[in-house]
Amino acid sequence: MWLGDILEDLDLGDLWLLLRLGVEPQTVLASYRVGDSPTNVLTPLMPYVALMVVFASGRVPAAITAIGVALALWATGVLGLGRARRVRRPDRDLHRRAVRGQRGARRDGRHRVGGPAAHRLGGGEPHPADPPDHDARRAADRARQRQTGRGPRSCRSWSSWRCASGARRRRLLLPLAFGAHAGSLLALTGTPVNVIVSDAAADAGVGRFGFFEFALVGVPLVVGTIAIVALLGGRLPPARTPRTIPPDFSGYARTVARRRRR
Amino acid sequence: MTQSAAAADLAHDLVGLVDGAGPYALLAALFALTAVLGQLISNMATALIVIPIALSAAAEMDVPARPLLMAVTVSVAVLLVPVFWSL
Repeated sequence: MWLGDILEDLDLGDLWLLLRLGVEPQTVLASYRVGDSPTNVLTPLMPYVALMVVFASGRVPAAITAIGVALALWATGVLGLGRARRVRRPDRDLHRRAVRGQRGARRDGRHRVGGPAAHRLGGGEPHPADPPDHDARRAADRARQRQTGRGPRSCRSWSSWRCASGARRRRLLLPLAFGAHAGSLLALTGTPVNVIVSDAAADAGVGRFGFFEFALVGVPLVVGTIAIVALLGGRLPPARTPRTIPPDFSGYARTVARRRRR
Repeated sequence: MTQSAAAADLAHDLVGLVDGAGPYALLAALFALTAVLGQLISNMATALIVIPIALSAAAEMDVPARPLLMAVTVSVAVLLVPVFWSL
């Protein structure tokens, strides 16, 4: 496990421990990044990393996680005992509906690993839990694709998610991240770092950077990124099959949205 | 960092490292330092740590500070592991 070795060397012991516990590396790193976000100045998110990993791993019943959160809020002094207990009340209802809303949720309260959305992202056959109209549409799309060799009709622009097959879709994500990152160097407002550096330059008496001055470096960088992605993009990302499919939280999102509308 | 003279010390070490190799070597060394730090801590924190070092190094070598600051901005954006990219 090379990632574990690196994390251990870097003394990021907590992350290494999570890896040793069998949590997927991508889950650990994504949680670490959320926890280490710039909003740390306002609200430290690091304490929530454990919660995120526990919730996303799908190994602990959600009810236990919820009670654990309430206890943790009380134990860390964020809320008093009375308020920490009340935290559960609206959430219990929300959670019950979310679990029901998630088609095929397990009866013991754990969310099913790999729901319809995760399955679709993987580009596999339609999930048994996909609604029938979705199945029909996909079947029609596939039939048309076989006959014409073209993508589904609903796919109007080349960037449409449904245009690409599962394997290609996965390969679009990495260029997306790198492209967005290179593009951040085009204008002063691209990232907060640009503004910080510009302010530091002003404080040091060498003058602010102009709005598009970073583009002097940014344009070659974007052009280079596009070139690398276009020429080598297909070969650079490794073809990897994860051992587990991450849990599908789309049911939770729908439930929260429904509840908000009322 | 400026008050504790840590920035000046680190800048002195950095200038000593590229001793006599000219401003481009300083640029490269600063780029490497920022890129390595940026993989481990968030981009903004990296920028805030390295900017005083860059300014001190520029003053010590008597070179313009703006190119060094530009190098810091770019190298903070160096992306080796996508997940390590801070928002």
